[in-house]
Amino acid sequence: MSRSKKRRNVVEFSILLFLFFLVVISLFGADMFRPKKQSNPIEISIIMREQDNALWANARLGMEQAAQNYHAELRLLAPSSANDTQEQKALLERELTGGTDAMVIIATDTEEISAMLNTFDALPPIIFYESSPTEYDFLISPDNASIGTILAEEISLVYPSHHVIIYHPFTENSGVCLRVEACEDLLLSSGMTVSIVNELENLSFSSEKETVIAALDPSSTQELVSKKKTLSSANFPCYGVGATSVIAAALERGDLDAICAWSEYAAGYLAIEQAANLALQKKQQPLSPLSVTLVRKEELYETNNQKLLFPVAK
Amino acid sequence: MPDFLRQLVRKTSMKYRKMSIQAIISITFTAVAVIGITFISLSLVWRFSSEADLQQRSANQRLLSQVNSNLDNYLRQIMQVSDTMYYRVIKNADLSSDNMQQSFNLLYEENRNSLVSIALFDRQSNLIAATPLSSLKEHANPAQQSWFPVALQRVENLHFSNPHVQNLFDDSTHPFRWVVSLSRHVQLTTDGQIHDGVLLLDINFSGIEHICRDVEFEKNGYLYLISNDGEIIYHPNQQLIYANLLKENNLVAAAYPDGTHEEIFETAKRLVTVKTVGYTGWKLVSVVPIESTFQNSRQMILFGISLLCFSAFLMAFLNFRISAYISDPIRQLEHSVRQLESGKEDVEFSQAGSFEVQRLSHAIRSTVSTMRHLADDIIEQEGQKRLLELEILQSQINPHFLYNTLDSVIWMIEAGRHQEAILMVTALARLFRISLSKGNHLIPLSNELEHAKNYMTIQSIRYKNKFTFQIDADPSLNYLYTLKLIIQPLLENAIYHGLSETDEESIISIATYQKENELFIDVKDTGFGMTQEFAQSLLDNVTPTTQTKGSGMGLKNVHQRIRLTFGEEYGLSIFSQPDKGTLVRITLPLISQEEAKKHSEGGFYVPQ
Repeated sequence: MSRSKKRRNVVEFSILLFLFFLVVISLFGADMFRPKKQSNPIEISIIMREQDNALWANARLGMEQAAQNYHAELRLLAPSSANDTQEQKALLERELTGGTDAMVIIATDTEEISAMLNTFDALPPIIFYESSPTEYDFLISPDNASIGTILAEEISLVYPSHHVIIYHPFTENSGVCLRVEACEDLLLSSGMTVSIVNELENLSFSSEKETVIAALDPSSTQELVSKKKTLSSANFPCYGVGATSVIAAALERGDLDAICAWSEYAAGYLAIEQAANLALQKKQQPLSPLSVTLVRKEELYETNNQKLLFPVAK
Repeated sequence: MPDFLRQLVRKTSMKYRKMSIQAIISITFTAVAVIGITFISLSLVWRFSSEADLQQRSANQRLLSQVNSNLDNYLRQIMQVSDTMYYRVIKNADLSSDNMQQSFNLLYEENRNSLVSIALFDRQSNLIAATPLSSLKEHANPAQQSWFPVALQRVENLHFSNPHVQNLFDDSTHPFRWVVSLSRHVQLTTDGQIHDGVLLLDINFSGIEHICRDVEFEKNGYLYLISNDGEIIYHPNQQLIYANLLKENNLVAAAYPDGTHEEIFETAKRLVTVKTVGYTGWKLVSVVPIESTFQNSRQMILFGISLLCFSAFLMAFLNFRISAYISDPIRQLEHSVRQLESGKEDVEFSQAGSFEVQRLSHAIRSTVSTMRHLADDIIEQEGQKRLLELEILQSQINPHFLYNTLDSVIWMIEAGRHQEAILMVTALARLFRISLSKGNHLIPLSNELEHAKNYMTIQSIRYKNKFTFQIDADPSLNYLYTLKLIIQPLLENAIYHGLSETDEESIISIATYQKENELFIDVKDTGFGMTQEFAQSLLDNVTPTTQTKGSGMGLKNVHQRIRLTFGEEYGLSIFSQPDKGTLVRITLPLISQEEAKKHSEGGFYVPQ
């Protein structure tokens, strides 16, 4: 075979091979360009601080919705006794050692949790819920200072001459502490008297002034509502925080004059959304604090408040 | 046309002219096929995309219609319960005496999956009857809830509210239920007095949710339900919307008429299909991202590209094979011709290829063969010519004739016949001069006649009284040219063969004349003669050439020379009879001086 014929054969073969390659690429190109679904779900551990399902019901609805949308698997863990820091730390350590793609922590004591996290070399993405150590950027929480301020404003407006007792049993919880501080500051600056207590038993009520009791976290609010009748025969006004059904029922009954609420559903959803995105190594910016709303008892059934307080559960 | 375009066209056409057949066939066929297939593919893709789009719209509408039908049936079922409650129970009852509770309970039990409660109120919003719960919340005020006044205002209609949390009954098991309220004006009878009231059926929201929830559309499409003022009744991400984590274009969709619409919402293009739900005025809205239709088109486009590539592959393969089949034999043929041009002897011509190429190859082979034969003939002729010219050359210096003549000159000088000797020497000199004629093969006829005359002068002296010689030449023909040394051999033959056997004085004559376009030279003798057959045999190729006593060239030599030079229609003709003498006729073409000059410059003589 002459050299030119050989060269021609090589050229022809190359062209045919190239075209065949294009055929194969284009036939399978559809699959190549189709976005690939995640094969394994993202594992997210949620370390709670108590097991009370009613308190976290709305948040859990949001978390589950987010888990469905982001193909995540949730592991909810809570200490057997509410707000047990040591047990919470043990749960945390177990999850970190066992491995997880991301974590959401509702810390009982943010300082201790932070110290414990610092002992680990490598950590998965961590989202704090409700309160966080200062060095952690990702926090899902309402504007704690606003909560305190809004409640304080309401109290000072409606009961300007009352003495205010702030029920604050979770002194380690930095988020709640912020609320308490903000509330106390505003009340004091309004010329009201304030006392902070960490238990409801043996409360002393002043005979000279009427008393208002405020609780600045949902758990404390529920406790306050449940024990209200035992504390005093007088029907003292109560203010609370949170949007559980117990709190909503208390508001409806008039056991609470007003509550400061935010969308727990949104909080839960956002926590899982951020955790999932961080686990997938997508860039995330820390979120702004969730907006809060003051809901008075007569406003409970307003349309927007219904949407805020009562999630449409699937 | 712009310059660069003109240059491009010029360059392309130059390249095209230099392309091989295979390249032209391959490129042209493939280009035409690719263009054709591209056109067909694009048409198919466009057609299918349009069709797929129509199909999807149609499918969406069908699905929406189905959901609409289901929802409508569900709501009508509830409406029937309300109708039954009113027309069968309430309208015929007197509240002062009749107890409707049992009927309420029965109807509720039959529809407990759909209903949360049934309640009857009077105009002042006092609860008359209710099931399953009978006591209102302490602070519940039905008159201030939207379903109550609207029922009293529009007495003819049944009214469906937007979803809301029920705020009526004290239910510790389900304290805050989402319901849709169906309310209507009713006429109540108490002690025969008719007064207004409101019948309320609270529908479990989950019933509506159940109907709308599991409807699947193409690729992330979904369905939601809005009231006629655009408020969301059901949305798959309802809570996210309530929590302000998601937005929906529900208020705009409320203004759409039934049918399919395209909209852009938050930079995404979407296909929105709207269907009004019968009595309620609610709207079912399906949303399908248009990227998903494009995704199908992208699949289609990729398939079209795949088809195009495959077709190009197939066409290229076929074209390469076909063009190779056509052009390879032509290329081989061209190669063979080039080899032939370069002088190679044993060139093979391929038999392969299409019919036309085979014929071409065969024709070239035949032509080459003919050329070879012609070349061989020419070589042979040239060889013969060279041989004959060599003979002439030899005859020009034939020693026998020369020294016989010189002998004659010597004895004439010795015999004192000086004049004859001078005549003989002079004739000899002239003879040889004309013989040489500066090497020219064609000489004027006059020179050839003079040569013959000189020869005869010498021979007449040598052969005294043997013959007489006459020349009868047409002087007007003297400008013509003839091949040299063609008459003298005939004269020689006449002397040595025609006269040798007789004692009588013979006559040898030469006559020249023109007839039509030919020159004739007749050499005649009155000698012995021969048979015509023998005369013919003198010129044929069978009879071997005999060496003569004279100058050495024979008739055959002259005949062949004339034919080689001028063609076969010229030459000698011999006419003879025994005892009657012999006529040898030379037939020649008319050759002018210019023609003779051309011939001497190397060209072949071509008679006019």
